[in-house]
Amino acid sequence: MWRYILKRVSILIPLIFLVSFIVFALMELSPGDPARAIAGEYATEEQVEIIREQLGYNDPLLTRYFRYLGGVFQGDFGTSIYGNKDVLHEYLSRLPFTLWLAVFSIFFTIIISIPLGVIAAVKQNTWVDNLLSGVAICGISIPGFWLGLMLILLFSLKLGWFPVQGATKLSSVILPAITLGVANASLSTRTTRSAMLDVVRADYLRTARAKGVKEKRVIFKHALGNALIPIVTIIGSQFSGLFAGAMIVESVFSWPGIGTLTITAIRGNDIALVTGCAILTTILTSVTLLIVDILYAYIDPRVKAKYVGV
Amino acid sequence: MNLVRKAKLEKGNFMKKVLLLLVLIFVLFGSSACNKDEDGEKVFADTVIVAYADDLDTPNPYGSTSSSCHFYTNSTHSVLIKNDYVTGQLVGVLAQTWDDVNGNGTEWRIHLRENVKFHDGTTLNADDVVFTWNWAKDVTHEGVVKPINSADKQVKEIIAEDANTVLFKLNYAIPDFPSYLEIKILSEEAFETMAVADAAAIGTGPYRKGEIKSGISYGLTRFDDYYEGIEDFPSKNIVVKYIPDGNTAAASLQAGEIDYCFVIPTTSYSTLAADENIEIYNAPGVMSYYIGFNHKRDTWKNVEARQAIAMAVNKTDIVNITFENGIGASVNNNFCVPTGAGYTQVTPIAYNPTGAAELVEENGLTGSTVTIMATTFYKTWAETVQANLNAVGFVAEIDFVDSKNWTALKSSYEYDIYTGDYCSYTGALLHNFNRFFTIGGSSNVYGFESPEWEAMMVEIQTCETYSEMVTQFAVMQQWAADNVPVIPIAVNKAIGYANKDVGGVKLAPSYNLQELHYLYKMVPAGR
Repeated sequence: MWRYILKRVSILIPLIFLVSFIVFALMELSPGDPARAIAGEYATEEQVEIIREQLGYNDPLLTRYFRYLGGVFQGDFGTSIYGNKDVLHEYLSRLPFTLWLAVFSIFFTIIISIPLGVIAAVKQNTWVDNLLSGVAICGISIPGFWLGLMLILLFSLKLGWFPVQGATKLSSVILPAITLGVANASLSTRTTRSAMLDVVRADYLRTARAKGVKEKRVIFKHALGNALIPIVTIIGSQFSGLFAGAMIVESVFSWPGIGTLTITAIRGNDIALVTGCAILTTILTSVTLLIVDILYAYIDPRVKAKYVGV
Repeated sequence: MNLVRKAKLEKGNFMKKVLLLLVLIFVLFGSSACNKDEDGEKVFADTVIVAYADDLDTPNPYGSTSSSCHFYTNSTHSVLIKNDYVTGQLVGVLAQTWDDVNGNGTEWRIHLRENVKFHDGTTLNADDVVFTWNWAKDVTHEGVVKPINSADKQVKEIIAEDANTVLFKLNYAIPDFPSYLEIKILSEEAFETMAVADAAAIGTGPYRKGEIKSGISYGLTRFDDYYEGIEDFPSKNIVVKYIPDGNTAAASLQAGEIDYCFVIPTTSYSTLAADENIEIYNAPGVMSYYIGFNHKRDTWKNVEARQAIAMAVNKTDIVNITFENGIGASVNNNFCVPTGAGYTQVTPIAYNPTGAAELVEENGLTGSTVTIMATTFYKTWAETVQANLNAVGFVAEIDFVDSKNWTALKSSYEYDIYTGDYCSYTGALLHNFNRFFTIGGSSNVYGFESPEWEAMMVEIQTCETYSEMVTQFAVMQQWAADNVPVIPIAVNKAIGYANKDVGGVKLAPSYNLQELHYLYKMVPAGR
């Protein structure tokens, strides 16, 4: 098992190098002068040049990249050009909000998608299956920002059940979590249905039924237990994807997570903050995927068996 | 029969009594269900919540160019002299009076208000003004990102004559020099005892730095030792919530989660106007929208080619299509805006497609390609101009670019004209014209050069009085309208949206100039 974990961690390191370099190079290639952005439209060229020199923007790309990387290995992800805030501190202060949102969103995904996926599989080719498939396709297709605004209009303005924005109350998380969760839940419903269909007519289930096991037990214990492997994989991937993919939804609901932070950084051409957010989110996503894979190995004895005794 | 009548009468009396009782209850309790306490005094909420689309990057007034930093520090820091954009007059804030020492605009003596306290308890004196000037004019000082404009160029020496008098000796005559003194004064003593970031947040404003929650909100707390007293500031706290999406801010206002907002898209105007709990405020803006030229291309060095474009462009259409039928802006024919210092009404080049087509033909430009650089944010504006130009014989193409890098792209000179640009027209008389149209001006990014203009700039700088300057400036505005270094299109309208219980709205013409400290909130009726 340790071999498996070590193998996955060893992939993580070059991945961080690659992502950091790509982000750095992309920021370099994108037009615009961050020094001018800081100095503002009133600044003279001399003032812009002083800022450029102070921030080291006159050095070659590779020099700046390796200087940055040296800092990263010492836990220094740089300083945001706006307000001189430490990037790592800023990121970590926002992380709990995104984690909280992601957990709620995935909880919503699980409680919706697994029962609906099972029902769709059990009722295959009936109107129930068709209806659920249609709803799932709609859920996948609806843009998050639009759905978010519609949920605000209905549940916040018309019904007054939830706050429009912010993270001030426990109930604040519900609308953004649903907005984020709808697409994931729809996809997971489809996955659950497919996975269930693969096992629902398997010989061992027929045997169980022949032995008089109740249908409910056949479905939820024997069938779902075996169908869980692809479901866990897809939900795990969705969970890790929420760290990077919640930007628009966080913005719509003014949710103070890393998505809003990243958008603020991109809008402000804040190179240090954009790069820091990208690298830290890569690490976070990779570690989450690693945990999911370890979980996967525990669920699927075939994976575990590959590494037993090593 | 009598019994029935009696019963009816009794029933009628009973109903009357019930009605009377209800009226009495309404008079007694209904009237008390307003926002006044037992003594009939108004009851104010402790906190007013405002929404804004940007987070606060720093509470240091010289530490950023962001609008959030500007309006936040408008409440924490007082300036020496303020430009009033409604009356067009200068208003003394920390400066009580000022004199043109020699009567020729070369030396200015500023008399400071006495007994003004900083938030750290120290008293304002002339040394603080000298310190602020010297510290904030130099971008190499730690914490200075937005230095005082043209400070070094204009001022030869600044002297603290006594505790409350400061003398500015200038390098040349500037008859409107006081209008450059809209500078936020810092405490020298705070800089001696604290870190720069903390010291720069200390001012003499009616509110001091409150709780700042990065990515969530930034607060202001009332400063009880404010030199003018706190009577005008009944709410103790003002909290600015960071709400990046304008539509979310509009919904939050309707839901009562925020009290005031001035960054809601005009597309939400009619919805909010229909909401009886929301009051809408309007004020003339200072954002001068214009179309710019690439003056490095020979075509646009030709004044007739520029005039042809000016004649071809239908400003009314642009305003209607781009600014929600004029809700967000109105047509403007002068680069200077009506609230700008020295504004004069000019005779514009009128919309005349036939005349434009003739000029295009006369100058051999028929069929020539005009590349319009634009951002997708002002897509409809660019498309309107494209149609206007195609109608008079040009072949117009639009090049949509990333708004984030707008300034850099303007400096690239890879376009013929650009649409959707604007400048905040604030400050001293010549400031904006100078920075745009004069060679070497800080915003002269499109290479406009004119010996005629330069000569006028030299002439105006020889004026010894402000009224002489204003007269000469009127001539320059008309010159700009005739020679079209840019084509002025519109001036924005500032719009503020407030909950009905909110008072003290002083809507400023731009985001940077908002004065949130006057806001207060009444406790809603019946609570």
